[in-house]
Amino acid sequence: MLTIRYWAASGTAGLSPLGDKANLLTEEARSERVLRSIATWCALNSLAFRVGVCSDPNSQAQLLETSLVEIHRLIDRDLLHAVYIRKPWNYMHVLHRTSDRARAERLMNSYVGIGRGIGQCENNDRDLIDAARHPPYFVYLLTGRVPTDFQTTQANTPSTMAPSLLGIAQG
Amino acid sequence: MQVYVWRQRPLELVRATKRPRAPWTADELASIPSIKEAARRVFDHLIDSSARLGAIMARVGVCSDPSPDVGIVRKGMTELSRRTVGDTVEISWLRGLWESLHFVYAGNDAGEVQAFARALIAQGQQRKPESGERIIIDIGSAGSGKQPSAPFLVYVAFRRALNPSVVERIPFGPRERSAAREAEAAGRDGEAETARQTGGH
Repeated sequence: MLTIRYWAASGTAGLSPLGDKANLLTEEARSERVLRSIATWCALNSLAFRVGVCSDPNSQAQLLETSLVEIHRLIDRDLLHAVYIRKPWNYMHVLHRTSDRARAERLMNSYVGIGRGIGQCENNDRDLIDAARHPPYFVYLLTGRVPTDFQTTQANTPSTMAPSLLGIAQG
Repeated sequence: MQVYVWRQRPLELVRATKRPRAPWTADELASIPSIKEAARRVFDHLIDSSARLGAIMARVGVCSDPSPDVGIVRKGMTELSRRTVGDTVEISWLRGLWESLHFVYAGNDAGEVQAFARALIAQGQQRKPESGERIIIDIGSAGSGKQPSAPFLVYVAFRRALNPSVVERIPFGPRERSAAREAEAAGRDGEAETARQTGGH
């Protein structure tokens, strides 16, 4: 089951993953701070992550539960052989809310760039899901164990720990 | 893309349409011709009937575990076979926008079926255009894939094609350009004249 965490500003103390849709982060700098923290945590724990934009995190989480993530592809003339893994994601961190789609997509692209610099960012141009249809737009980050080599898929069990729930101190 | 399954009946070979998203039934797989001569005749019929319409491109390949979603095009590809092992799913996609896909032969020996697919390709490549036929046929292998379990199916994908090795030229030099401009100008004058005559109605 995919667990959803809504990141919110908890008073003046810091950032907390225990928010909800109403008090979600709307400041880009804070969202980026959360993203960097989670991405670093994932990199330290050999976890993969993926950034996305959606209009409804709950329905998106349900959709992602049944979706496939490509872990290997081989092109042979007119054929493409791809290996997918089912249910690789364990957590969905909703980082940011905006009513501007262009801004949400710009943020997503920026986060993908940051994520690729930190760890195993699984964003690619093969995503078949475009779930952002109407405002508000939520920028989210999925975390889970996605094997880089499909031969080791069977050996890896998709049991992961959640990122720290202690919150991220505001700098 | 239309997907067809050829069926072997007591007296004839019949083409049946594969329903999209419908899972493959054992009867459906069992009814695909398993006699090579029958598959050859189907292949000849397909090439001949397609070639009559113009230049065609055909790809012959082997797959197993055919996908229920075969024929549904996503991002310029169609799912050909799907195999699930634990939490992993192996999918072979056929790239490109093909008009039709025919399953013509089923066999249980992977090596034999692949050899037969190669024989079909050779048979198609040796085909000579009939008199008056201005066709270009490009027949080749779709690529080799993993075929882990029987039955192994031979498929043929078709689409209309232009011969990539021929540089096509249509004369359109200064003379044609000036003639075209004059014709366009005359057309505009004619339209304006017509509008004047009808009083703008």
